[in-house]
Amino acid sequence: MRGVVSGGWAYVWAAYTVTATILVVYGVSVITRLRDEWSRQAKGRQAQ
Amino acid sequence: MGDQSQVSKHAAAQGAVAAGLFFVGLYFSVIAPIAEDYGGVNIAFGLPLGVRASLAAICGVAGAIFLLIVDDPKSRARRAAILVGAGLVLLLLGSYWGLFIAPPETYMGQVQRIMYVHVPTAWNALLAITFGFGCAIVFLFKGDFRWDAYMESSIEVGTVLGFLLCCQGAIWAKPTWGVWWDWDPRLTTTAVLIFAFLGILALRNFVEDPVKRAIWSSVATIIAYVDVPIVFYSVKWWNSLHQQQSTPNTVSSVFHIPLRLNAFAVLFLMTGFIMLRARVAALRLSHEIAPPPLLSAEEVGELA
Repeated sequence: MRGVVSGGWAYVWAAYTVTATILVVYGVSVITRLRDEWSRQAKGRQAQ
Repeated sequence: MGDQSQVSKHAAAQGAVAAGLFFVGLYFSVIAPIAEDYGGVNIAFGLPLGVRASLAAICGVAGAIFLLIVDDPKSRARRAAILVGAGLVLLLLGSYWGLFIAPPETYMGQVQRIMYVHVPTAWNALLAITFGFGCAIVFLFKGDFRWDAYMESSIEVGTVLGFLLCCQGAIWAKPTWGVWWDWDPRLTTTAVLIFAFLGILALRNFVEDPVKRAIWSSVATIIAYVDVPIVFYSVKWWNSLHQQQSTPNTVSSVFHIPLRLNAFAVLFLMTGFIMLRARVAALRLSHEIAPPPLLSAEEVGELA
């Protein structure tokens, strides 16, 4: 009631967990797509 | 052999320029404040706080843009891997500092620690989209598909960071505003921005012709970019629940170090992700425009 937020660690951990999760999931998705494209390119070269 | 060594010298010089810019940025934003706060030594050449912060931001952004401009999406992803690795290390360090070393804020208490990930995400989301906007303009003038690949990648990375920004903001809003979401000008314009760029990414998936896809999405990116300055100035133009932008003079110095460590961390991650994603876009395009593989003798026989 004094305009001061008390506690709140649960929100802090939630924010950091969401940040880590989204960055890791996106990073993994980019690397997976890149590896798929590289292997597709290698198959294309073999076919030629 | 001579050509190869010339190319590697050129690449080393480019890497040195970017590393130099990043070093100056980190020096004024992290190293000098640590020396001042913990060692009592002023190694910032007597520059005022605002000048140091501006210099750090300009050098960091210039280093990232320089690396993206000189990057070749058909080359190996070594620089991108280094950037992502450095970004992860800095993010761990900045988050540790923000969670365990920095003190709680007077009014918001522990919840203010969300700032150390929320603000860097906001800066870099807008930076990624701004780079995409620049790529769209360059593509329309030059017609080089390299810029189309960078536009697609920076829009995707900017949208992911924008979505992350909204998640972090909602988590911060609940204990401070009492609600997860409010149709306040800053939040609404940010939501419009994310949906506009999601729409552009969807448009790219629906259009098969690479030339039409690149031109239409470039034009759409330029139109959607109008929302970026509106997002930035929304807190000044309208009465908003969201606070106005802070300056180095309005944020206590004890909060500077983790904030700036994470700002550089997300900057490195964003740049590395854009470089990697541009390689995906460039490879997909090369498959689309490549001639079909030659048929084997058996396949020709089957067709006959």
